[in-house]
Amino acid sequence: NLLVEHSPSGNGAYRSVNEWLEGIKMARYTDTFVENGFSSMDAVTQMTLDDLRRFGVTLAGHQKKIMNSIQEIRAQLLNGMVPL
Amino acid sequence: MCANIVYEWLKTLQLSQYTESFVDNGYDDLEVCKQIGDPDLDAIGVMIPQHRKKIHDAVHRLREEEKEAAS
Repeated sequence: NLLVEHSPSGNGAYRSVNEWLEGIKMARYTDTFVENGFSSMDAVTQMTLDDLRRFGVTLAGHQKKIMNSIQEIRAQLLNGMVPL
Repeated sequence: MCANIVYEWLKTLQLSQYTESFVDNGYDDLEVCKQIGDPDLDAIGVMIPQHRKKIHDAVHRLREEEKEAAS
């Protein structure tokens, strides 16, 4: 049933780290994330800015984009909009 | 409408064609644009030397304005 499968928020229900990073056009970091142990969305929601810096995401814009997206996902989880 | 501040800034430099790439790479306000250096321009895809110089100069001016505002 296509209607039921539509996510309520439209952008929060990422099934994998790769899908999420592609969604925010940061797919170039997929390997980096996985190699550093952030291979599930569950792990990603625990990520901090220090983690990003530590494994080499040094560009300010990319840090901003990734951290903003993580905060959105966390907020959606808190609101119960997206099951993880 | 907050993404437009970068568009306005780039427009004053006559470089508004890069707006989408700036925003896609997370450079969507002037605070983060102040941190732009060569690696950032590489990621955004600004390859033309004159364009890079223009942006470097403009970033320098943003930082100067910040210093003046703080003092």
